[in-house]
Amino acid sequence: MKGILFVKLSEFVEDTWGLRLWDELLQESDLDSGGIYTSAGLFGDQEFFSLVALIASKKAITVEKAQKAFGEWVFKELYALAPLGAHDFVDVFEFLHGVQNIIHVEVKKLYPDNLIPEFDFLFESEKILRFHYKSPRKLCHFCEGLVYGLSKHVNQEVTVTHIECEHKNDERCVIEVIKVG
Amino acid sequence: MDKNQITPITNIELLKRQIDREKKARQLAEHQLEVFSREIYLANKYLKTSLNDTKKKQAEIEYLSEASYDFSSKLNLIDILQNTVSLTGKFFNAEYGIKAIFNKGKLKSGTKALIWSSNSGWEENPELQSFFFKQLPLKRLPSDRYYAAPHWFITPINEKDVVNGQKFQWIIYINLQLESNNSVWIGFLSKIESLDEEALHILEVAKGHLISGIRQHLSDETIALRNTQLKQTTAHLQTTQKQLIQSEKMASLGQLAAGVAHEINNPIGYIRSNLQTLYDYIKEFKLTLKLLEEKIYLNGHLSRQEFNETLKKKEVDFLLTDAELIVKSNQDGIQRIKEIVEGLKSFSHASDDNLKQISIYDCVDNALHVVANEFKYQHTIINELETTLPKVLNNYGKLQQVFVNLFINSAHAMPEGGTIRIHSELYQQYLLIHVEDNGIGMDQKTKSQIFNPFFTTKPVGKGTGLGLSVSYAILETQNISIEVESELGKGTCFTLGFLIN
Repeated sequence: MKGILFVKLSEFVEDTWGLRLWDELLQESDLDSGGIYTSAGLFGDQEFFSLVALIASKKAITVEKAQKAFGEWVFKELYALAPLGAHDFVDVFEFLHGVQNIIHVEVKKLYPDNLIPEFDFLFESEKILRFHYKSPRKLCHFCEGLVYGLSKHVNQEVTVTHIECEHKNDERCVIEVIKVG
Repeated sequence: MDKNQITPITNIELLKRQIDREKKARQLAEHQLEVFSREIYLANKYLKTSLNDTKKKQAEIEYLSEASYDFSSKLNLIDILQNTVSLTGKFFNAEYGIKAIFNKGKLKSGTKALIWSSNSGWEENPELQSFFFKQLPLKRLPSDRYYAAPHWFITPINEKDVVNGQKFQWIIYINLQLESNNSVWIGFLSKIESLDEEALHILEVAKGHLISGIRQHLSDETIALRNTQLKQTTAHLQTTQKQLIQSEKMASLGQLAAGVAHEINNPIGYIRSNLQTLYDYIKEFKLTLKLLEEKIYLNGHLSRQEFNETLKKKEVDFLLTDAELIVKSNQDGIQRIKEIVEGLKSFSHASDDNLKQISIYDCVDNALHVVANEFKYQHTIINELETTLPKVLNNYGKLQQVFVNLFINSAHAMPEGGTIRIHSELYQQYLLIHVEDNGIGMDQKTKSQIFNPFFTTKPVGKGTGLGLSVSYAILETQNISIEVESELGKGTCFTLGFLIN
């Protein structure tokens, strides 16, 4: 997983709960990287899962909630780093298409070896968008959080549901976004 | 680590730890940057090299496409050499170029002092020509080796050597062998400071081009000579083939001679003995007449009864009947001899190549006469051909030779006896003649070789091995097809196909 997510995770933890918690997390997990992260580097997926799980246990929330919270928080950070063309969208559904068609494409150009999640759009109407979230990392709740972050950013209220979820032993993750109001 | 055992640390300690992490992260990032930079550098270098190679290839292709036009057109060698000089000179930016043909160290007489210049193409320029000759190592070649190794030589030109007010840096030259003791000098004068790789590469390509061009384009004289030789060889071959056909015929005739002689002897034999018998009969008739005369003389007359008694005593009835039979038999015998001789005559006649409308029935019949002796014992000849068969346009003598061949082969395939059957069939616009025997047959391997000259399955001295190969040649020239079917132990069938109108 790209280092940027780890860097942002540390910032999220600092921002939400303080530097002390982050320090504790690092001391209590046995990380290969030792907590040294660079944006451009690649680090083990397992480190991310361990850190998130530790956050969840320390803060007495579910891992899903922790992922979702991080997702919501990190949206604006990632948005700032997005390539040109991603900043023109004013609609949640359009932006989600843009993620697949523009943002991830540019990311792949720079880092062809990366494993990036793919969105497979299944259904779209004026108010409803359904897509298949494909990622071996199964961070569908993180994705849900990002969508909420996005909706806040473009000022469009939405609800997000996992109508199918691999964590519930379904075959795949399908996320449904419904525009409210 | 157990949560309860964490020692609470001070904020300062916390910050210290964070700073330490940041420092290490920065170092890590810097190291990653170095790695990326190095990768980019290598990728760049690789691209530059690829680009250079591509450029070289492109120049080569452009050069070759222009140069190869020469090959597809019908230019003679001189023009090709000239075109190559101008093309090459243009490509690597030489000022002047020269092409000069030498014969044993001396310039070929009658050549004009043509020099190629990048500005104005081929022009007469004796001054530049002498300059060139001065620079080329013309004298250093031993006189009887008329070419040096086929490599380009690049020599710097002395600063002091000036021509037409111009100074040059290099002379680049090569000497290539042509046929008939000629060689060609090709040279360029260049003002370029240093020749780049691309130029040298073009030179190598040009050299390959020149050498192959020279090899491919022999001078006109050589071609005319080869042509004449080919014509002579072809004529010679045709004559030889004709002689071979005739020789084969003579050879088979020789082999058949004994048989034919025997064939003729046979009827002669019984004609002779028949004549002897006839002679005896005549004597008897004479005696009978004498007896009758005597009786008339003694008695003054002859009664019918006495007449009949005398005739009966002398068996004149029988003698008369038999005499008739004998004469008939002799006539048949003579007819038989006549046929054999006719067959032989037409066969041994050195036939011309004329085609006429002939009757296959006659041809086969004549051929059978010639080979009759081969089928004497325990053989049956079934000739189902009809005299009404359509006529075909062929050469009678040659065709007869082919049939004789086929019949001899059939006979030899049935040493203990057998049947040879000749029948015809009409198929589309072809008349097929089948010569079928129930002899020993052939396996696939033998069948595939029978038309090869000198191939024979017969013991030494019995066959020339030429019969079928010559027959094949004859049939080919007359557009008659031949097919063979054979089964080992069962027999063989040859089928000749004649196109009828």
